[in-house]
Amino acid sequence: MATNWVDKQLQGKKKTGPMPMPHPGDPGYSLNEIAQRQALGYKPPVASNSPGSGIDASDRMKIAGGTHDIVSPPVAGSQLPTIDPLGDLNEIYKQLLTSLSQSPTVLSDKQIRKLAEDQIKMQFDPQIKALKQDMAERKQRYASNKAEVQDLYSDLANQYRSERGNSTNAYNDAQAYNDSLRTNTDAEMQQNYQNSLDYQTNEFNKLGIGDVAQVNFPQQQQDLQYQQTLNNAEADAFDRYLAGGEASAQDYFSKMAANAGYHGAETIEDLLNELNSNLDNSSSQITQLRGQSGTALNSLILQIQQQQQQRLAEAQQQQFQNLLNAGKFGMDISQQRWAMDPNNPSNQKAASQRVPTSGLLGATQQFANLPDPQKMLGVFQQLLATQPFLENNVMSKGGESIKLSPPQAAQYAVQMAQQMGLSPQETSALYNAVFAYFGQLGR
Amino acid sequence: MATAKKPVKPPAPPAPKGKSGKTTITNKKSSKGQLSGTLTTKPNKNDPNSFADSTYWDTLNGLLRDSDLYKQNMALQNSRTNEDYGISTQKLAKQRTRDLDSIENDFAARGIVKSGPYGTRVGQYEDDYQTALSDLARAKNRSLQDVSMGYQQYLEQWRLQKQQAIQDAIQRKLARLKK
Repeated sequence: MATNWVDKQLQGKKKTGPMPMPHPGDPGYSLNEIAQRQALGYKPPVASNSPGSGIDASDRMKIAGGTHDIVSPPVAGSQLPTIDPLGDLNEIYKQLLTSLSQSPTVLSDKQIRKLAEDQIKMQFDPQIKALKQDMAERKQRYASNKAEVQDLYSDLANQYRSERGNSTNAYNDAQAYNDSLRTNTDAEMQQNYQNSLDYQTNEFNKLGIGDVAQVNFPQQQQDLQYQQTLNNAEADAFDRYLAGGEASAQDYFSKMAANAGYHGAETIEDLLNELNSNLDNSSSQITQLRGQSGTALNSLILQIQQQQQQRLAEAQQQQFQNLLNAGKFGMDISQQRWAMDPNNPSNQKAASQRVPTSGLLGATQQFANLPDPQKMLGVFQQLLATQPFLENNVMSKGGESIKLSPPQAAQYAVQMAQQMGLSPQETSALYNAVFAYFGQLGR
Repeated sequence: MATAKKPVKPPAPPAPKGKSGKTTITNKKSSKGQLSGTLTTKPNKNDPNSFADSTYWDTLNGLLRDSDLYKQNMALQNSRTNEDYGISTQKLAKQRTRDLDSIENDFAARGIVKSGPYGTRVGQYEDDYQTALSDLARAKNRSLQDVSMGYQQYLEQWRLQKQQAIQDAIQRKLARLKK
């Protein structure tokens, strides 16, 4: 739609005079329009505290129903273009109504559940996964430890069996040593006696008393046997000592080898108990987490539903406010239309000569004698499209809604004129136009 | 005349038996008679000493050194016993020579050296001498058996200490497994 001043200028591919360059979000300008102006070489003003700059652009667009294509109204007795302003106001009105049908997105219960489930999964799944991984690692570690413990105690049993062999070897060595002592001593005794007998035989034969030997020797033989018996008895006693020690060692190491297996089994059982305890603990934690996640899911679903209800309620409230705005705006248009209607008795007398003094037409009269009335009409259209005016002349100040009185509106218009760099004459005309708009000019 | 036999060496304590490709410990005596050991650890899946750690090897090395010292002490005791026995038999032999001469001189002075009573007296002396020699030999045997018995008892304690070292190593291993 190219019915506004800017679009008309753009269609003509020329700029006819100084034109304000708005900021994005400034009242009365669509982003498209701003882009078009930038394309024509206009730069935005430096001042940042323009009227309505503190108001969110999207809200303004929402309330205004999009871009504000307010056109120049016809002014009787002037050179202004004769375009029906009501038609364009109707267009704004239609856009405003269109915005009313735009309701916020509503999530279904299924979507809310999916949203909540995703969020809960993000929170709980890593913990549960970590616990499951820990359980798997513990099982794996148990299997590994079990094998190691089996090896350990198997080796211990082998060590005991090995000690049995070592003990037997030591016993055999000790027994052989004792036997050697026995044999050597026995032989030594035998040899000593034999030497003695030989000595006596020689000595007695030399003396010619060899018969004496026959008397002496039996006693000496008997003594030798006695000594040998003592020697054997002591050796046997030592053998018994060794054998007793060996039997004890064999018994000890055999039992210890068997016990090593029991120790291994007990240790593995301890490990298994510890594993089961840990697994139970982890399972319990997982169950607890799942329970918590279920509770958290229900809570989150409820929270999202409440938020959505609150958002819907706010949207309905806003929609209702917009509806009120639209209704009042429509009433304003109707009033304007009635003011221009030939059937209006007040217009029947001299409708063609009558110069309107109030409303939009009354306001436009204030620009008729300016050098560039069309520019001022554009400025006034912008003014009307700003938030305070769109909201039925109610302006928000410090979070508190106040009724916009004509002097306040005029002051607001002066601020806007200063921001746009208008001349004193233009500013004054804009100031008067506001009073005319409210029908209070000259009062 | 007494005949001294070569003393028999006492049995050596068991040493850990290493297998090819497995953990082995070797001990060698230095020229000064001190123990020096080298430890070679080659991990093997079928290692019979799977419990063994450095502390175990330290303990076992200490036990081996102790047993070596014991063996040296035992060898010294046996040597002294044999030496004392040799000295004692030698003293007895010298005393026998002197005593037999004395007996012969006594009987000769009385003019009855070629008589039965002299032969009986010499026979009695020889009998006492052989008894003394046998007693000495049995005493030496008992002394050597005592050393051997002490060694058997030492071996028993040595094995128990080694088993305790193994048990301790296993406990350390289990403690590491549970971490």
